[in-house]
Amino acid sequence: MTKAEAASTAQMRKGVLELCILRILSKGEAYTSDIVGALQAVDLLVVEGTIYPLLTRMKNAETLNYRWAESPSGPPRKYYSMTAQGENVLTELESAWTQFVDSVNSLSPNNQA
Amino acid sequence: MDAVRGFCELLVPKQSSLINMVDTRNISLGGLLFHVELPAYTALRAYLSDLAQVLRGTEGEEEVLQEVEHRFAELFNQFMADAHRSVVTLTDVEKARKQLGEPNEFREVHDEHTEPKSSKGPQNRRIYRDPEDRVISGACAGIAHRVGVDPILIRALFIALTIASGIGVLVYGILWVCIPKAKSASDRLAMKGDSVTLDAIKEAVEDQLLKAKDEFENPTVTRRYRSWWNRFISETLPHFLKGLARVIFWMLVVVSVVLFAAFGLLILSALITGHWNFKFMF
Repeated sequence: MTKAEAASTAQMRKGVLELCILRILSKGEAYTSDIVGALQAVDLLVVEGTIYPLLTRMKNAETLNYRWAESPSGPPRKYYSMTAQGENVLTELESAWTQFVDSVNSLSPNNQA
Repeated sequence: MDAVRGFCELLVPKQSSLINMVDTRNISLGGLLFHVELPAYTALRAYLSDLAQVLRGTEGEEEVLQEVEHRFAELFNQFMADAHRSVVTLTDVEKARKQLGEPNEFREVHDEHTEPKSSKGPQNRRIYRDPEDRVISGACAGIAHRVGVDPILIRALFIALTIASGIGVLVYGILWVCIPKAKSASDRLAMKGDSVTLDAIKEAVEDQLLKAKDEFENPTVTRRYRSWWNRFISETLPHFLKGLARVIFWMLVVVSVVLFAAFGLLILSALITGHWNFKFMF
């Protein structure tokens, strides 16, 4: 992959990150490193740095909520969970995503329709 | 007394390259206490301050920074537990840094098109003497960078002023004294009006890391001699010469001011009395 292609892929990843975070949190609360780990496991996140400003922005937009919790070892952890408003956002983003994928696929030469 | 002790230390180095003992700092990070080796401390500090610079003015910058500090604490804690160590080293900082990403990777996708606020315009530049593009002191080049023209124009102006009245030399001398020299990379960036680019920041951090590493690995005797000699060449000697130049310069200024005043008086008296009164002057 060339540098330009890599940059383009990174943009795509960044674009869907918010949806991915909401999907992860729809299964229940998670702390920052859990979210990071889940995203990295499926290659949606290369470095952690990207996630912190996004989480802060989502929290300020009241899509997310967090609470501090003690950790058995190490510093206290920030556990994020989805708010009621977050659920609405998730529904919106899900349908936007489905539509997006359909649109992009419809342009593929392999598409029979 | 201190000088004598300094000299003795130079002859009999306290620290040999065989000794692995390193100074540490105690830091509080994410509510935990860490012992951090000095080179690691320097690198971590540089990283955090660069990150703060990147995040400046973005949404929730404080929270993001706090979160990153927490993450560092968590990672260090984990590294310490895994390796049964109690001191954070430069390797730990580099490992954590790799995992978190470079400061410029913290920018959000939304900011990217608004981000490159070009400060290339001359209005954002600061004035410094440019030692890399100088004829005498770099003052002309510095002014040229500030107003955004070719240095040759400013130089020509000064030469013209000097030929016309001699005042050019005086003004030049004052500028030489008043305008600071561009010493660091950031001075040079500010002088030429380049925005402090992320690549530049990255370079600066990497540079600092390398320096810390080097300092850590080679605290040898030759190094100590070299550093003493380098300091003499690069600081003490030029400082002395500069001081000398300044004294000579001010003496010239005083002399020329007196001469100008005397000459003015002479002309004035000639105008008033209608004839040259040489006896008054000499």
